[in-house]
Amino acid sequence: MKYKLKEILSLSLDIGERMLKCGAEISRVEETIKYILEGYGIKYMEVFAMNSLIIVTIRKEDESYTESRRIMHIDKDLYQLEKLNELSRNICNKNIPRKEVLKQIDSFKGKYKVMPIIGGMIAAPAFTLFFGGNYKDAIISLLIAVVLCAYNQFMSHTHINALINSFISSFIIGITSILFVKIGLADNFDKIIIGNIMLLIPGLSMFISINDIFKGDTMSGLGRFTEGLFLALVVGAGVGLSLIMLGGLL
Amino acid sequence: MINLLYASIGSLGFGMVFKANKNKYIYITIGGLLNYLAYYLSYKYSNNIFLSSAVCAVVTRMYANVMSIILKCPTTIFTLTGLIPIVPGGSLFYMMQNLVLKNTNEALNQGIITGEVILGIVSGMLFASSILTIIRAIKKKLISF
Repeated sequence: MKYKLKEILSLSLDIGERMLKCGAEISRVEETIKYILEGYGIKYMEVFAMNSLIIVTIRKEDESYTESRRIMHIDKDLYQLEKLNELSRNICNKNIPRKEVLKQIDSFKGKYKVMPIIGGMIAAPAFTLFFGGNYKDAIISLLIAVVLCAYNQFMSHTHINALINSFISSFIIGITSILFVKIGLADNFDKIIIGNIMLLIPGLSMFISINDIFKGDTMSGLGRFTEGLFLALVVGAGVGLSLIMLGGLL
Repeated sequence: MINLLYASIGSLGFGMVFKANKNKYIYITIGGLLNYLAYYLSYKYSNNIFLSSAVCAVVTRMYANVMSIILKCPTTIFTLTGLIPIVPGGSLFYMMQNLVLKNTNEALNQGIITGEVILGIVSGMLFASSILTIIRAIKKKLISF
């Protein structure tokens, strides 16, 4: 064997950790780690992944190593996910040292920094129109989306709990859209709020979690499902609070 | 009908929010379009929210699977963005608004719609993934023979 057991273990976990952080399903992470380890010629392994933890143990004759990684917060990044998938397929075929792998992983990072903001600016007006708003509403909802994205970008360094963050964001959405309608720049505050809420609603992670459950990862699937439910509740609560505070103005 | 356009643009926007690769944008847009088209047609003929959300979840899942085989990339890219147009953001908001305004009946109504859509998508995903699992199992059996 070309590499030390420890090095192989760390390498496989580096890739697994990054994939989980980018929002991959649990079973995909487990399978990837297994394939990589097999590609490096290891026969006996125990791989366990959850939505917040990965533990891997590998054995060879009388040596055995265990390493675990704690995943704190998940930030969806489909570009990285795709690239990591390719990378892991390459690694299985030709074994590369860990330094090279780390270098490649780093090169995928932070490629699309401006895109999320532009995406928010496209998605929010589109959904305002989708739910029946007029063009004035769409322009206002674009403005609010810019504010929202700026807020999220600003807060992303502080690592505040996602629940609290969504509560504050939905509250901001509610307040600003009611105020804009009050001034007279737009007509339907409900359509503006809905368009922007779509940016926060995490229904998606909820539906993806169903896949996890049906591949046998009941624990993490349930964890993600509950997370999604709570986020939806929190968003509702934030908007409700803003309606209670400023609903009398309309 | 113009909603189809808005739905696909919305999906594209979400593709950007989730930082998808640039060369996938066109497929993501088509995914959103297909998803809402499935919902629109099935709702027109059955008038049943639960059934139509299940149908469009199945369509999205199948599309994602086909695309992932063709383009050799994870299915997550297409399921995450494709399901966006039917996420029940509207009914969730109206439920909250009516609760605040003390219209309990209307709030209950909207809450039921939200639940219906969520359950519909979940059962659609369930149906699609059980079919896919069976297909995969049969393929493995055939290869091993």
